[in-house]
Amino acid sequence: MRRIRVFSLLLAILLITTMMQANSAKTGDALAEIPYGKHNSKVSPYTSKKTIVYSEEEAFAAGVPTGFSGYVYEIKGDGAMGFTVDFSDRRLPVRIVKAIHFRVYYGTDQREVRVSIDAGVSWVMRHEATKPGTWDDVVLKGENEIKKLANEDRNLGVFGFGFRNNEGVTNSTAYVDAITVELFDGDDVPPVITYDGPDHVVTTAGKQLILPVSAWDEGEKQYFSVEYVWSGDALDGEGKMKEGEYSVTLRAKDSYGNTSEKVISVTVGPKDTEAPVIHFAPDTVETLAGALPVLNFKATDNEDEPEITLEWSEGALDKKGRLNEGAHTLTVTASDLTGNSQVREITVKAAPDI
Amino acid sequence: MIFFRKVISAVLIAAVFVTLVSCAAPGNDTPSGNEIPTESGAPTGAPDEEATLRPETGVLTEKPENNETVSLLTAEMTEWVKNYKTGNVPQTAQPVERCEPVPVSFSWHCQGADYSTLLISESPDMSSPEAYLTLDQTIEVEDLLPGRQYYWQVVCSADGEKQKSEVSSFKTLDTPRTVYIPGVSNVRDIGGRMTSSGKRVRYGIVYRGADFANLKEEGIKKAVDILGIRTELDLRSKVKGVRSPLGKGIKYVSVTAPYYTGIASNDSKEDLLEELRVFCDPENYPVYFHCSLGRDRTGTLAFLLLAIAGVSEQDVYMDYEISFFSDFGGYIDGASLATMLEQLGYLKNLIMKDKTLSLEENTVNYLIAAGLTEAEIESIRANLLEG
Repeated sequence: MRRIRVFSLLLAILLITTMMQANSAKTGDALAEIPYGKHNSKVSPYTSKKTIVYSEEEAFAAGVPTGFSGYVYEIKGDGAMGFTVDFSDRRLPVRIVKAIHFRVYYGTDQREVRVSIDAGVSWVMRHEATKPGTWDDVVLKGENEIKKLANEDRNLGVFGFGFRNNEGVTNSTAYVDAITVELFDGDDVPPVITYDGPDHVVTTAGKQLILPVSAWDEGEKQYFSVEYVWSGDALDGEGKMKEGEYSVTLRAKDSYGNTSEKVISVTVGPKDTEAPVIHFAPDTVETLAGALPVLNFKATDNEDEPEITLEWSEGALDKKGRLNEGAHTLTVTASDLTGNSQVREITVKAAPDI
Repeated sequence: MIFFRKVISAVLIAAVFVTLVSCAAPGNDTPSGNEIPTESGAPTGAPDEEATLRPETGVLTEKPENNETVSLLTAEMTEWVKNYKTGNVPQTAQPVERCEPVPVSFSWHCQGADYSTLLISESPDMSSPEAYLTLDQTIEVEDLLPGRQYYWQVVCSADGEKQKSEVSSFKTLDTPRTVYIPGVSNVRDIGGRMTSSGKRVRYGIVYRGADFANLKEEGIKKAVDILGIRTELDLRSKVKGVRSPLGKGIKYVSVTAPYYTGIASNDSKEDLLEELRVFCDPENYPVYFHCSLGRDRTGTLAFLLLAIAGVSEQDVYMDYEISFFSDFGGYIDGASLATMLEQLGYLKNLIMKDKTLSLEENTVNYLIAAGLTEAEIESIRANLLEG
């Protein structure tokens, strides 16, 4: 079944976010946060003197040129001006975004608008002001272009609209309207769950159970996370297994809601109480002051692959992570998945000579 | 400056996998590691010939072999450097960072060692060594310098007894030095290149690369604590009220830098002079300069600095072209190497007003005409070149 979904940007939350960003560009202190802020926005000269987002009613009252369809961004500035929008909350993977549509109204003193996550420096697309004084429909499309608007999670994130004005222009005004996202057609094939383990799993209480399972969706060419749905009261408050007999449904859902499931049974035995054993004999280690410690301690456990953590006494390491001269204490802890642990304290002597 | 990078991901993945399997099927004692079970259950396979040659006492250094020459670049980049020809960077279909440095792998044998200290020195008497404390008998070390003779030795401790290896040596191939800063693309040290004065450009004082947009704590630590960067020169645009993401103690200078023939524009003159004057003050070093990709504005400034220092035209071009081994420089905007080399050629032609003079002399003349003083040129040279 073909489905085309179009998300509009006309949500109040987004409106508020965008207005806050526009406002934040006004002051020096706030500007300082722009290049490396939470959205990784970069330095951009495309900061506006003023950006206002009008509702339809307000736009009419403010004299915005007719032809707009809803909320309208009014951008004012001199040589270059712009604003950013934030799609992060929508969690739209860029691979399912087919195009971004918007409408732009240029004044007679603008040359072009650029769209990118860094519109002041580079651009994903640029649209020339060939029809000043009218509303112009613009489409940003293409897999490579859309990808460049992704945030760290590969979702559509923060990106900017930057206007270049003609030389010497001051107090210029432009408008942007109806920013919408068009998604690719969906599919109706669910992800394929691959489970590389037995249909009946035996474990012990007090552990989180993580199974060797993955879910690949051929239509979207990507893996999806697998949800564990337990029968009965299988987990404690920390998500660890309680003793008993259970079944777990492994469930995976793709971007279009198609779902696969696989059920396995789980026997949870009594809690393991045996601690891991650290395999390192010396109580004292002697080395050169200034040495970089690269210590891969080994430990074994009756049930699990132990996790090993190292903690140095205060003043043991310099800012480069190298050993300062003197005798230091290294605490090595090996823990299993139930929480049993062995702790060793080792004296590390760092001397000028070795 | 030597720094070790742990490579643990594969080990962790393997550990998780083993854990999961053991959870799922307790009591399933399948053989692990490299042992191949026979029908009787005993391991088989060819005897370890190396092991039979290893001494039961003492420490034997193994890799790098004595007098071996190792490259700090990938095999692909090493071949490119060895057979360098302008405009000949191999391209890949997908963006891949191919210019990260390759660490040097050390290994040794010491029967029953509880731990070892690896010592690396530039002197055969092992003075002022860099040291690494490890429980293993193999380690990977990064941030060694190209074109250097190194000496190394291992001190092992077995049952409380110390044992020292003989001193072994190796050389690093004389190549450009690329640098790894986590989260930053296209990074290299412009140092190491030979100049017309017979001196080399100093290592560890000027780094170039892409922007810090994806920089995280690990990258900041590398840049500040390990590389010791004091100044960030941001060539993207002149801004006020911004500070470096490297931290409060880092000087931040921003300019709207011109690139290629854009340096000739009167509008860009002040920015051009401002970016070059950063290199006049010894207090600013080490400097990291960058634009977005680390290719055009950064490449233009690197071109000028290396030319002032007296680096050969071939080495200047080689430094520029390394950007096309990075995932940023060679791909992000679809610009081809041929097109960009054309731009660099225009810059060279702009500067080479007198064909009887060298690139160095023409560059100095051009910049003096643009407003840099001879004293400023000399201070840049003095800061860049080895003493």
